[in-house]
Amino acid sequence: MNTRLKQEDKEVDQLEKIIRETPVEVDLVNRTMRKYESSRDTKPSEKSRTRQKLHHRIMIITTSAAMIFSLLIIANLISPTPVTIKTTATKKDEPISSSVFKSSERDIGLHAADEKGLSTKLNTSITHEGFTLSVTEVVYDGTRVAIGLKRHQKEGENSKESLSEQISKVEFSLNGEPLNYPNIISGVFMQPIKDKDAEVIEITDRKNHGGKPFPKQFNLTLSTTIAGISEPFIIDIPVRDIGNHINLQPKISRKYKNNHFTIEQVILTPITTSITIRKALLDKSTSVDSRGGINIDVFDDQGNKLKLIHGNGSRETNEGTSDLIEDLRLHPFETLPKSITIKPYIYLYDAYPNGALQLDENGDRIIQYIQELEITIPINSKE
Amino acid sequence: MTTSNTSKENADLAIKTIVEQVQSGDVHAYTEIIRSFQKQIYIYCYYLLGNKEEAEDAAQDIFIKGLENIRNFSYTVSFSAWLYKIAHHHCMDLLKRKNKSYKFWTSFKKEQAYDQSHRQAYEYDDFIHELLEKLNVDEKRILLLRSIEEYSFDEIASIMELKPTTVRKKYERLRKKLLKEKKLGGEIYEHSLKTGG
Repeated sequence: MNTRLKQEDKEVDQLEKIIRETPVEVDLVNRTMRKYESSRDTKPSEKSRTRQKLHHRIMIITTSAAMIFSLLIIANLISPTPVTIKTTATKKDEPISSSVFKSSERDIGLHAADEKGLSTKLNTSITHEGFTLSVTEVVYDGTRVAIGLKRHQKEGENSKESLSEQISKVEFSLNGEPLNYPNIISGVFMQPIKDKDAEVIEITDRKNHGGKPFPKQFNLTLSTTIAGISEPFIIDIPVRDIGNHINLQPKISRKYKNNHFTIEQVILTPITTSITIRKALLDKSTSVDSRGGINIDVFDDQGNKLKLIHGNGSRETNEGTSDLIEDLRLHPFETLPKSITIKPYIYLYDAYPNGALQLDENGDRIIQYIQELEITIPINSKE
Repeated sequence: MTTSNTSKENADLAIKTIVEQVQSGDVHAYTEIIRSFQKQIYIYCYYLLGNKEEAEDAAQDIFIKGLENIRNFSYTVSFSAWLYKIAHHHCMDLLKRKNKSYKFWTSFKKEQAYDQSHRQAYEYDDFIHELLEKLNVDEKRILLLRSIEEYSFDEIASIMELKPTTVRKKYERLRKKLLKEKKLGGEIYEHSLKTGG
């Protein structure tokens, strides 16, 4: 018994050691200080080289965003038409504060949606018990509906909690029909925003996961509960597809070992790059299924890699098959590419018994692309 | 033992000096603070958030919050303990969002593994993250603080604003949970190796 306990102690000690000795090489000094400088934009006297660099970067992002739209319009796509629709919710006319999308640092698509007037500005507010929740803006690009939320607290009250922390329940109805998603992770996403009084909530349809596609135009009702306030905040949001997308259904497949990998659909919008992949097994009788470990990187013809925003997946069980279907939503391309390349990869691990994730000198995970599964899809700008 | 204690004391003294420098307006001196704690804070965030990229972002934001609030810091706790408190609040904020958004990855993988009994799909970091997922937030924090900083129960108690006996009890509970799960983890790992080979 004693020996067993000692053995158990040893095992936990070992786990702690593995955690402690996680091989990382991080150098956050310059990045952190740059970020700090840029956050102090109210103090112009504090000019530093790093800050100037950041401004330069912001300008590049803005310029690139402008380029996307120029190119999309050149490509004879439908030009954006912002719409303003009166909402039915209890309104409290307050001046619209700064755009929540614009402050979305992590999502250049939403940032661009605001910059280019693709989003619809709303000023719909509901007040319960002195707490006002406003929908500031909405955009739908056929791949995701993004909603900007802002709170206004009681005078004198300054909650330590962010709006995100206060939101305890989120439910949606589409044209009055409740969208009963199996769980909150299956199509509703909350995007991190630096401003703790703001939040972006996103919802996607589940057409690839047994649900219906969203129509081009609809009324979305958001019902959310704020901690400490009994009555839910119910807000009607008019949604219209901005219709600015390229929709490809290449259905190109590749095989590698026991894996069958297919690109089902690619949608390019000024806000999002949406990719639907199907991962199947060639030999379905096998007990070895490593599909879950296959991820993808997406590049343009110049080698620029897109950043993942969010995604969801499901297992399609039809007639004995169990394909994995994943919808991934990534940043938009900075310029409309001639082609896009999807590179599936796996992470590399050290050999047993350490088995740790392999990291490079920058502390990044070492990945191995599976060339056999790589797929390049030409983009015809006339589409 | 004595040597290690002495070197720890020296390090603490050095940090104290730097903190005072920053508090008196020398923002650049803060780079030394980042250098000294970045690895630990990053690992803490990585295992709490389960994602390298988010951990990097979070660690940067934690250091920024530290710098923004450094004037409020006084030596009622060690500077590292104070940083871990900030780290905790920041990660909790992110985790709440993560539960609603990014968690789809782990949940999706879990679904595959449990529903289909194809546990082989797991890989090693999943194994550690999966073990951590069996723990509640307090337990995770205790395990991470024990692992990364080798803090005593008293130190952890002061960071978490709990009684040392409560921390000790929670630690015992988390150990039991881990040991219960470990066998499963071992199986996953072995299968994963076979898959890879």
